[in-house]
Amino acid sequence: MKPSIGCRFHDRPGHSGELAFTLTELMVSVSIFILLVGGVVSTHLFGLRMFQIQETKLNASAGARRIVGVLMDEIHSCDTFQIGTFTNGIFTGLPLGAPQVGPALIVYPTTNASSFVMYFVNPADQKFRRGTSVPGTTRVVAQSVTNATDLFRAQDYQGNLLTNMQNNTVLHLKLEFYQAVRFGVPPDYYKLETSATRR
Amino acid sequence: MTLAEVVVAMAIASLTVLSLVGGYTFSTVSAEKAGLALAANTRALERLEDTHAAIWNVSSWPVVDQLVATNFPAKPVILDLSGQGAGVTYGTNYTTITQVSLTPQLRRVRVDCVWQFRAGRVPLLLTNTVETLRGPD
Repeated sequence: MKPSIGCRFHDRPGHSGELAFTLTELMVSVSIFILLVGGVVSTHLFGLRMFQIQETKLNASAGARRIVGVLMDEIHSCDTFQIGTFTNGIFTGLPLGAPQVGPALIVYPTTNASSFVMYFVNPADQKFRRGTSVPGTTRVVAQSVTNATDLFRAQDYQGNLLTNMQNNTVLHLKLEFYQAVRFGVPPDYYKLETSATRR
Repeated sequence: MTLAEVVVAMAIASLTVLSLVGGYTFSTVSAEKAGLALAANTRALERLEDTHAAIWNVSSWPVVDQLVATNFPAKPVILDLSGQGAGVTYGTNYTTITQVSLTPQLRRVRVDCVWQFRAGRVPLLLTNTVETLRGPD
């Protein structure tokens, strides 16, 4: 591009007072610059907003993948499992005859009852954790899990809730993630359900 | 700088900005689609696990056979709920059970989770399929 200021200088060399932009040129230039900067900033803000929306969705998906992948393998290969509650570090299994639905699950990989894997959600911090019989191995596998009462459910092959554990019990898992409004991003809800049967 | 040059420069800048916005939107829609695909896959797996729990005992008398298609009709499932109240995404699980061989007894179980994804104005029908073979208990 050819700057017009130079042209004017060569056309009329004696008029040194025109060696600058006029007010109109300056205003037009600044307006164009403001438009450009506005566009860039708006795009950047839009990108940040999209990133936050995606972050919520992807975090929920990632948590769900981690849980489903490991849990299904453990149920497939386990000896037994039991649904119950987890309070103050103690797992309490649901009694026989009671509807088998609860917020905690204990999985025994072998017949050795002192070796187990446990899943539970803490309603206080909405974190879903996986622990084992080895002390200090408890870790958070998902966050923002809001259904703290009906996470695990024992059912038959037709989906009917059981009141007793059977050999062919289907373990149904329901995870509900909720992300409240933050930074102007609307609330998002993600739900994941699946089942696993002991082989 | 002539007016034509300014207009061309602005047009190029607008195209760049539009491309960026389009990219952001596409990646957000893709994340939503991937999340729903995962949910559909787990719902299909759920049905497959149900079929694993059905008793198919050929060594008893009478033979117990719960692994038949009539026990697994088409079942509507909820894949996701919107955080803003509306926009529930539904899917439907279709289960197909076919006898693959009689000696040894073997059946193929196929579950198709069909769901709809609305990206823009055109709704897309998508299917997540899981399939396994199963012998008697």
